[in-house]
Amino acid sequence: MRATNHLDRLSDIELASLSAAGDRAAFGVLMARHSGLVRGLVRRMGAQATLADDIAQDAFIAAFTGIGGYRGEGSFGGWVCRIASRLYIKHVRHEMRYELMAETPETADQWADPGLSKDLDEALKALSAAERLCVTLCSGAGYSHPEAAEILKLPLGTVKSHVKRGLDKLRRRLAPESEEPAVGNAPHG
Amino acid sequence: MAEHPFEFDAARLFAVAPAFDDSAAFAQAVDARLARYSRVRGWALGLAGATGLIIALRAVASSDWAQRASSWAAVVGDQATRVDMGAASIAPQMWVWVALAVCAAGLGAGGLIQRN
Repeated sequence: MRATNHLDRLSDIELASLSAAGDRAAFGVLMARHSGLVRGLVRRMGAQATLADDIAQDAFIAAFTGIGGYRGEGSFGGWVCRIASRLYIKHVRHEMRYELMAETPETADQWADPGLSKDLDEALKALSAAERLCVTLCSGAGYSHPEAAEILKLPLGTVKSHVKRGLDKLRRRLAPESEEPAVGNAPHG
Repeated sequence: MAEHPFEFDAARLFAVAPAFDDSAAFAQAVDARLARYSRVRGWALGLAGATGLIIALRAVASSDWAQRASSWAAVVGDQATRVDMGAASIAPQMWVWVALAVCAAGLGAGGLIQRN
């Protein structure tokens, strides 16, 4: 059996190649490197901890079975994040738990999670469900606005406006008060 | 190309992976599911191969391939012109079934190897 510390020295692409040949130990190292990012992203999209972990598990299973699709363009974690975000959107759409056009703010309980970095997640509480999904898809999973619009089945302009409003809110929450831009509070059309 | 001045900062914040205390348990859970997936896949392949092998062997057994093979050998012994006629009439059926049996056996063996 291959020593784990040997695998630890390999790059993501090398580990992905080994995983494609069925090496689960290599895939385990990839998971150890990137599971936090993937689990965190799904939680930041709005999933409860248990559901987020289920989605993240499904994403890693899908990544293992379809690892030939990873071409090494971008990080492996980013690739799995994209899979996970699509799975979560699919789940949410299936459960009909959100209305993207609505502007209802989330409750704080939904975000109670000691595992996440406090600042960003505290700031995310200020975003509506739609804004949070759009911001996490674009800034977290790395989708472009048109890609996010396609995934969410929303008009591009709507996605852009959700991202803009969401980022404005994040900036206001995260930036030190002295750096808060005056235009940040202006209403957006 | 950032469309919002905070876009790069937000991406940087999202790129910081949160630390989870149960990372090892999470990895174990995924690995267990992968092991189960591999087992099921191996069994499915093995079952498909075994089924194909049985079907192919039954088809070979029910055909008169032995008689045809012996007559083909006799034809070879007799004259070359008859070899062509014999091979043309025997080969298509018999060898297709034999090839199918070999493929099925290979698929079954592959499934068994993968399962183990």
